[in-house]
Amino acid sequence: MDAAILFAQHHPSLFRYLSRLTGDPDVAEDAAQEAFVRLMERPPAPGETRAWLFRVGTNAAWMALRTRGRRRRLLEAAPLRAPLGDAPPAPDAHAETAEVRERVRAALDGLPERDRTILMMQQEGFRYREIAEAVGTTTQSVGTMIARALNKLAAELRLDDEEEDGWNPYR
Amino acid sequence: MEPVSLTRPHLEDGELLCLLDGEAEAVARGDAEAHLEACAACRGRMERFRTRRERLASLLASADFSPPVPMTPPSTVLLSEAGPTAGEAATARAGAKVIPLRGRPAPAGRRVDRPWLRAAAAVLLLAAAVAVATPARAWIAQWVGRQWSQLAHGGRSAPAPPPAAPAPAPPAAPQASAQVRFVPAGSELRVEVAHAQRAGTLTLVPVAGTAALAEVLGAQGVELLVVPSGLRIRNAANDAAGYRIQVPEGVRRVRVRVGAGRESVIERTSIGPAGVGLALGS
Repeated sequence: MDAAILFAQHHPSLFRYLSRLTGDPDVAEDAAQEAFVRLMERPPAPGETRAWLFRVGTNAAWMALRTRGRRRRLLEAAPLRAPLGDAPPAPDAHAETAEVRERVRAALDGLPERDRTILMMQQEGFRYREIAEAVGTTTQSVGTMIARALNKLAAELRLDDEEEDGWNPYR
Repeated sequence: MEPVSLTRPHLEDGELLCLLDGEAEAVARGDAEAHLEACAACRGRMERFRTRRERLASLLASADFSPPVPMTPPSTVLLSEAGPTAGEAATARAGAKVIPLRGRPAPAGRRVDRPWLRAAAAVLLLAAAVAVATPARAWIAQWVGRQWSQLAHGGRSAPAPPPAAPAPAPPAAPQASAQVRFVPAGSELRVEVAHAQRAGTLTLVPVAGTAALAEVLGAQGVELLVVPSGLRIRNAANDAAGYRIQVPEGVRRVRVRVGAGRESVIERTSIGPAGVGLALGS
């Protein structure tokens, strides 16, 4: 196993996928790191590395999000222990990007975990067979789930809008 | 009322997605395709799904976060020594037509040094070596995380090995090729090649589904960078690498610009099954 090559090949798309999946770059970074650490411990069969990394990263990300959700609920129940002040804005979060990010995030968060995972894996170019193995469903169901997710997002993000001057994601 | 295949009712949404993505095994393809051929309503629904996905891809790309480590531009692949004309050979084997591209030759540029990558490589190789020697999982995670964190906060020199750890392994053996897969955001795919090369060919090949696959065939050091508009190839003027890009169905045309040269527009319908080659030689 050549770790440096694997890292260069897979880390950028894995991080992009995980940050889209979770909406949290910190969780994405941690989950991607977890996936690579496990890769070094127990490498999968040749030819399955990419799907394996994404599967492990996905599980790690969902687990981290659930842990974070539990912590937030605890802090909300005991507000005196909560950290003070808002998190500083990300340096690259200029207005348009922030607005689009917020809209996309809200829409994606409205999808069930599995539908979101399937949709984001498809966006990364995975075949249905690989997606089905990752989320534990049948290949035949993947198309249905992608369609269901797109139908829901179409309404939330106005993906079907037709305008004279073309579709504008920033409106 | 339009006549449709009597063998089945309208296609379900999931079946349309399977056809759109070229997933033959996931649907009774013969029946479904026959119905689609005859039914304008289903073709319209399929087109709507295609549009939705293109727009979603565009939104996702514009909302992406930057990678946490100031290292890899997204989807960057580092290559190393390989035969200088592998791309041309592959193009010739495939029987693709080769079109000369008009690109202004760029001056031979100095390679950009990438200390972060050397550091990351050393860290990962070290961690891998340790993982084999001792299954100290927590220690590996801590060590890798610390080094990545150093890189993320501006550390530019190769990290020193931790106490009692084996010395970093030597750099990776050269690889002959590499690839990056992505889903283009719209119906146009832009390919920007940084420099006209000494030799080499960029080959476009049509493919079913929605994912594009870009491959480098022989290079001394090339970066593939996926950007919202498509693909950026960071090469050097003295390279002789070949590139092959699988153009998915959603892409209607490909725009290729080499250096500061004129843009070439290739309609997907004009690309034959064997592909079309664009000469990158200056």
